[in-house]
Amino acid sequence: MNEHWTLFKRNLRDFWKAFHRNKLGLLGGFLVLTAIIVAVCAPLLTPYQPTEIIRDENGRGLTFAPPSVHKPLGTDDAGRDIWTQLIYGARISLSVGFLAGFIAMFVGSLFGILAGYFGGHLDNLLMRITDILLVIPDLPLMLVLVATVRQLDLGISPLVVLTAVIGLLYWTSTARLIRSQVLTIKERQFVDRARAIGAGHFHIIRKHILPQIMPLIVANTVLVLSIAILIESGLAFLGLGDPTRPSWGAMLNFAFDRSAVTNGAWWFYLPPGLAIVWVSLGCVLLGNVLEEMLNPRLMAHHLEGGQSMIAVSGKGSE
Amino acid sequence: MNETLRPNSGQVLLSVRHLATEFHLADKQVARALEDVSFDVLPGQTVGLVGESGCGKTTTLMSVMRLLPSNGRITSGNVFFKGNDLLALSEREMRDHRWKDMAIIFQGAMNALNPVMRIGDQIREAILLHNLMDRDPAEHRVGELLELVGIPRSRRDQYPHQYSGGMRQRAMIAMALACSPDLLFADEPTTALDVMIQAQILELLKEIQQKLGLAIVLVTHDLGVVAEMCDDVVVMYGGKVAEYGPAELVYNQPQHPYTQRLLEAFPDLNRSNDPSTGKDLATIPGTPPRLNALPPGCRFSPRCHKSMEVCTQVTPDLLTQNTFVSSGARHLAACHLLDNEGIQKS
Amino acid sequence: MSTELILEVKDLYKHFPMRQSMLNMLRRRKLEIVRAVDGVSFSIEKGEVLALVGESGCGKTTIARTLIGLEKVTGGEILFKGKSVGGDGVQSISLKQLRQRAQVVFQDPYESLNPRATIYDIVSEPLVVHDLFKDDHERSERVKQVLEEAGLRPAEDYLLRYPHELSGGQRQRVVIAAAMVLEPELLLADEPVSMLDVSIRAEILNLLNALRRSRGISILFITHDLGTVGYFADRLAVMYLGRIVEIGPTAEVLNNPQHPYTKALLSVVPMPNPKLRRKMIILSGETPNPINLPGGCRFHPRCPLAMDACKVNDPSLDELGNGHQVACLLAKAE
Repeated sequence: MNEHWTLFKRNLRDFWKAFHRNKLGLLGGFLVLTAIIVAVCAPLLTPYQPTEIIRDENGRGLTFAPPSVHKPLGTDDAGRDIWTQLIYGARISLSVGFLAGFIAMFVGSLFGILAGYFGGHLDNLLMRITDILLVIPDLPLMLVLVATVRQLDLGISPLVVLTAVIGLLYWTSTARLIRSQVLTIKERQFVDRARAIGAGHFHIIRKHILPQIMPLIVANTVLVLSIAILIESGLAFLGLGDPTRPSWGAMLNFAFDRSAVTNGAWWFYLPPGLAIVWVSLGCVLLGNVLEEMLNPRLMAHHLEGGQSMIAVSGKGSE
Repeated sequence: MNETLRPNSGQVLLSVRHLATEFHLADKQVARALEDVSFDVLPGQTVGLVGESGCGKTTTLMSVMRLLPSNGRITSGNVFFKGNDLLALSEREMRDHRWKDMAIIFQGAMNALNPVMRIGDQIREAILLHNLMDRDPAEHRVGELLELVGIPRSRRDQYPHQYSGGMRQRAMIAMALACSPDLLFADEPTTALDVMIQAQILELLKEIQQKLGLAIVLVTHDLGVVAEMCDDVVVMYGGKVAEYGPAELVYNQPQHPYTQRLLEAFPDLNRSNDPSTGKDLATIPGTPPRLNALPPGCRFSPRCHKSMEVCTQVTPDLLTQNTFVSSGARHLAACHLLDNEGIQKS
Repeated sequence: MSTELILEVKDLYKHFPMRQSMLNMLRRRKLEIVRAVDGVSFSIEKGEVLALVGESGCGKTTIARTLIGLEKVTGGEILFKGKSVGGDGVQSISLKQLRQRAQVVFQDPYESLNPRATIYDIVSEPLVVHDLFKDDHERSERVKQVLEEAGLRPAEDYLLRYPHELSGGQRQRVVIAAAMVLEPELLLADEPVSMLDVSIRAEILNLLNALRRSRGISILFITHDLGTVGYFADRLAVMYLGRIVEIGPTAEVLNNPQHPYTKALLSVVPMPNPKLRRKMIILSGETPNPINLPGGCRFHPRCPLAMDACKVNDPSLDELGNGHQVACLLAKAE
C-alpha cells in the first residue's frame, strides 16, 4: 500500500535523524558494516585461497614470513597467507556468530512473549527452564555438549553443532528481558482496549505487544550477537570448531598450537584477536546506542518529539 | 515602590511586576513562557492562579521561587517580597527565603515522598535542613505540625505507602509549614484527590490560614476550587495574565473573553437539567498557542469570539487598562475591548 | 425514548481474592476478598444516558470492566437487549457478540491508544477484529466517515498520523471514533473527559451529546465529576463501596437528594460561583477498604445521621416514587 511505504520512509528518516547524532553508534555501525562487507567480498580482496601455500623462489613454503616480507599480514607456519585466512575466517566467525545470535534471539523472544503474556503455569514452566539454564555455567556446558555430539559421530558438521549449541543456550537473558517488558505492556490501557473490542490473543500479541517490544528485541539482538561471536571464538580456540574451515578463534588455536608465540610471529595471533575485538566492539557500541534510543522508559520522549512545548500537567483523577 | 494594585491595603506581602520568563529549547528555539505577569498577595490572603495546561501558572511559581530548570531564564520584571526584590538576590540569599518565608507544595508531590523514610522523619528533615533548631525541639515541632494538619501522632512512624492520598497530601502540607512561612504556594494540591478528600484538604488549608495568618497562592485548573477558596483570582492564558481581580468580580462580571468562555464551558450543577434539549456547553475553538511560535498581538486573538483588528497587532496591557474600582480593589483585564476607563467598547 | 431496555444488570457481584502471603497461608488466615462490586442492579433504556457517580474505590470502573468482559463476573447476570451475556441457551449472546454492540471509552487519552499504531490502524481495528468491511476501500471510507463525525476533519490528514502527534482532545476524539465505527448501541464511557482541559471537555461532551441525539445510542457515563452529570445525564446513580446507594432521574437526585452520602457529595462539589458559599457536609475520614466492610449499612461509620439501627441493618434500594430509589433506613422511615 502506498501509504505504508510513505509511513515507513518517514519512520526511517526520523530514526536516522536521532541515530546519526550519536557518534559512538555511528562508529559501532561502521565497524560491523566493514566486517560484513569484508566477509562477503572475501574472494575479491585476495588473490589466494586460504589453504594455498605460498612458495618462495626455491619452491619451499614461505613459513612465518612477517608482513614486511609478505604483504599484508605475512604467512603462517605452513606458508599460507594470513590475510586470506583472516577474511575467509570472517565468513565463519560472522555466520556462526550471527546465526547463533539470531537463534538465541528468536527462542528468547518467543519464550519471553509466551511467558509474559499468558502468565500462569506456562510462565512458571518456561521460567523454571530458563532458571535452570541460567544456573548452569555456560562454557563448561557447551564444551560438554559439543564434545559429546562429536563423539557420537552423527556426521553433523561441527559448525552446525556449534551454532546450535550457542543458540539454544544463550537465549535466557533475552527471555527474561522480553518477559518483563511484556508484563508491563500487557497492563497498559491500549491493550485493555483491544481486549474490550474483542481482539484475540494472537491479534493482541501481533498488533499491540510486538510493535512495542520490537525495538528492544533489535537492540538486544545486536548485543547478543557480540556475545555469540565471542563464545564461538572461545570454543573454536579450544579446538571445537571445524579445522577445515577455520574461524578467527580457530586461527588463534592454530597460532598457539603451532608455536607462533615462541617464534615471535605476532602477525599470526594478533590479527584474528583484533578482528574479534573489532566486530564485538562494533556490535556492543551499536547495541548500546540502539538500546538507549529505543529504551521503553525513554520511548515517550523519543516519540513525543518536539511536539508539545507545553508541560502536560498530569491531571489524573483516581 | 510600584503602585500597588490594592489601594488602602497596607503592607503587601508579595508583589510580582511584569515578570517575564523564557525557556531555551533544543534547536535553539525559545519559548516565551511568561510575559508581563503581575499580581499582588496580601498577608493572610488567598490568591488563585487559574488557567488550562500550558498557560504558565506553574512556571510563575517556579519563577517566583527561582526554581526554574537550567534552560529557564527570568528575563525581566521584579518580585518584591516584603519590599525586597527576590530577583536581585544571590542564590545563597534566596535560599534563606525559601521554606522560611515562602514554601511550596509541588504538583503531585504527595507521590514523591521518599518511600523508605518514615513520614515523621521526613518532616523532621525539612526542619533540620534549615538549621532552625536542634533534634529534640525539631521532634517536638514535628508533633505540632502533625496535629496542625490533622494526622494522628500515632502515625508519625509510618511509611508513605501506609498513608492514603489525602493523608500524604496533609504530610506535604506539614512539611511545607515546617519553618512557619508567611506564604504558601500550592500547585494543584487537590487535583488527584476525590472530591470529599479535596473538600477536607481545602477546609484544612482554610483553618491553617486562619490560625497562622498564612497567605496562599493556589494554582489550579479547577474554577470551582478557586471560587471556593480564593479572595483574588489571576486568570492566565498563553503565559500572560488575561484577567485579575477579586473572585466575586471575575466570576460574576468577567471582562476578558477568555474568562467569559471558560466560565461558560464549565459544567456545573445548576445548569440546564434537561440534557436532551439543553444547549451545548460553550467551547473555545482551536488550541492554546505554542510558546515558541506565538501569534502577533494578543495571544488569545486567534480563538477570540470578539477579536478586532487591533488585537492582532498590539498586545493589550494589563496594568494600564483597568475597570471597576470597588471596595478598594481593582479589577483588571488585558483586553482591547476595555478602554482606559474600563468601559467595554462593544 | 422507547422503553426498550438495552442493558440490564441484575445483582452483579465482582470480588477479587487478595493474594495471600506464604505466612498467612500457613497461619490459615481467612482469604481476604476485595468486594469491589457487591450486589448492583440497574438498567439502561435505549437512548438513555445513565451516570454512575462515586469516589475512587466505589466500584464504578470495575462495573464497566466487568460489563465488557475484561473481568469475569463473580455473581449475577448481565442482559443485553434481553439476552444473557455469556450464558448458554438460545436466549443468550456471546461476549464477542456483545463486544460488537457495546464499546468502551477509557479515561486516559494518552494511554488508550497504541503509540506505535497509526490513527487508521486504531480506528479500523474493531472492523478487523470482527471481520467487517473486508474491502480495503470500503474500510477506509468507513474510517474516514467516523473520524469526520468525531470532529477530525479532513479525515485524510489524520489517517497516517501517530497518537503522539495529536492533542489530548484530538486523541479522545479518535477513541470515540474507534468506538463508533461498529455502530454500537451502548457506550461505556469511563471518565472520558477527566484528563482534559475544561474547554476541551466541553467539546467532547458536546460530541457525545450529539452522537446520542443523532444515533439514539445509550451511554453508561462513569465519572466522579458531578458537574458534568447535571449537564449530560438522564438518570444518575450514586455508588459507595460497591453498591448503588441512590438512583433516579438526574434533576430529581440533584435537587432532592435523599441519601446522606449523596447530600454530602453534592455539598462539597466546588461551584464556580464565589457568592454561593453554602454549608458543606464534609465527611471525616476516608472511604474504607472494600475488604473490611462495616456491618449493617456500609456507610454508617461516616454518616452524620447514623442511628443504632444502621449498624445492624443493611438497607436495600427502596422506591420513593418517580423512579427515585434510595438505600437508607432514614429515607425509608419518612
